[in-house]
Amino acid sequence: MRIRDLSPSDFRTRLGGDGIRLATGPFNCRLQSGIGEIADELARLYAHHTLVDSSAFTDFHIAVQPGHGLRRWLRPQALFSVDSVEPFTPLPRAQALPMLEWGLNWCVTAYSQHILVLHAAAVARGNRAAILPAPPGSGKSTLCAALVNRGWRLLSDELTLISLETGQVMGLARPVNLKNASIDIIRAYAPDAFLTRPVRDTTKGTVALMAPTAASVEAVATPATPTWMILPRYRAGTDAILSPMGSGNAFLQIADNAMNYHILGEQGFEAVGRMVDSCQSFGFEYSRLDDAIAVFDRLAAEAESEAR
Amino acid sequence: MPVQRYVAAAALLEGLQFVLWKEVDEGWVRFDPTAGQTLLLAPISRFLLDQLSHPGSALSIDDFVAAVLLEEPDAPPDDCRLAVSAAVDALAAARLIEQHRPS
Repeated sequence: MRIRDLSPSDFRTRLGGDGIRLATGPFNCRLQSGIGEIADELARLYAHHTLVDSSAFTDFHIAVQPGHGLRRWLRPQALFSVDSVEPFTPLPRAQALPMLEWGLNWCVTAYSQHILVLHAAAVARGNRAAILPAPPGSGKSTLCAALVNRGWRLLSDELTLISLETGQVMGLARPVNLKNASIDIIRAYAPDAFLTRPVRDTTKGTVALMAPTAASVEAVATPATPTWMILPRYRAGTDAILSPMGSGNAFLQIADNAMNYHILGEQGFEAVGRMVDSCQSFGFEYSRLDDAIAVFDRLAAEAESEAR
Repeated sequence: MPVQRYVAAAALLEGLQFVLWKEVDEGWVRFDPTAGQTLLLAPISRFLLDQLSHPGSALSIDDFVAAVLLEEPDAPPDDCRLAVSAAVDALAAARLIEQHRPS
């Protein structure tokens, strides 16, 4: 059973009560919220995710609840908790939905020391994954959202999970976090995609979340092989240009963007080493999304052709 | 004027048995899990580091050049000296080696 199979009122009742238990990639999460206004958008963001039975192990018990006492009415707040611990200061209630997403990212990062966690987007064509590590403002999420709306499978927008056992990318297929100008760019580029209403004045500026495609969520359990490591950078007016990157530089880029590389020690080093061995690595400048996607499609076609 | 010699930094020798290496296009990636440090080294830098990895080794630029020429007899000596000097500067900047100060 998937979230989309619940009626809106059933979803709302569960969310405000014992919680919505869903699977997102390798993690089972229980989401609870007494902030009713996030229910409809949350249900659409996770429409295609599988509901998990209450007897299954739950990795993260997450709640976003209204502020206490007067803060329920006076400059209303949202409080994030995981396993009944509140790791963050409250945010304005209007930011409850992005807070839930950011909080879930934090949980994955803080508690996943059995996986190499990269601050990177990842998309796949067939069983081949393109990993896009990049600093904020590089256009990573915009490019990721565009690719996902042109036939690439979303593995993750924010956190790429690499199995230490197999070296494969494990999908999360959670919402894509769009910021500022990229919100209107993706609305125009993919009018059929579901985006939440923009939330203004967050620490990241204005943000909106884009729902993953049904195909991405339904294939989330299928891992993908790291095949390309592409460091994207949006630069106005430039053509879409791939620049080959040496494996040493690629290693440093991946290690720099790994959240737990140093914690994992030798395992982290081996995992990053295996990644650079299996990937073609590139720097990538682009300005027009169609041109960028054509480059990605060409890479996929070349890999497919070489495999025959 | 005394000849300047270089030695391995103390931290380098202490964690030597834990250091991991991976060969890459540009040379070598060196990971020291004790220091939590990952560095990309040119092949010549690793070669020089290996020369200093025995406790008590203190080598000058001339010594390094001689070691490189022993390994690569066809290398032009002037180019070799330039490459050695650049590598020594890079290793010192990364605090893997330091100037030897006899007590």
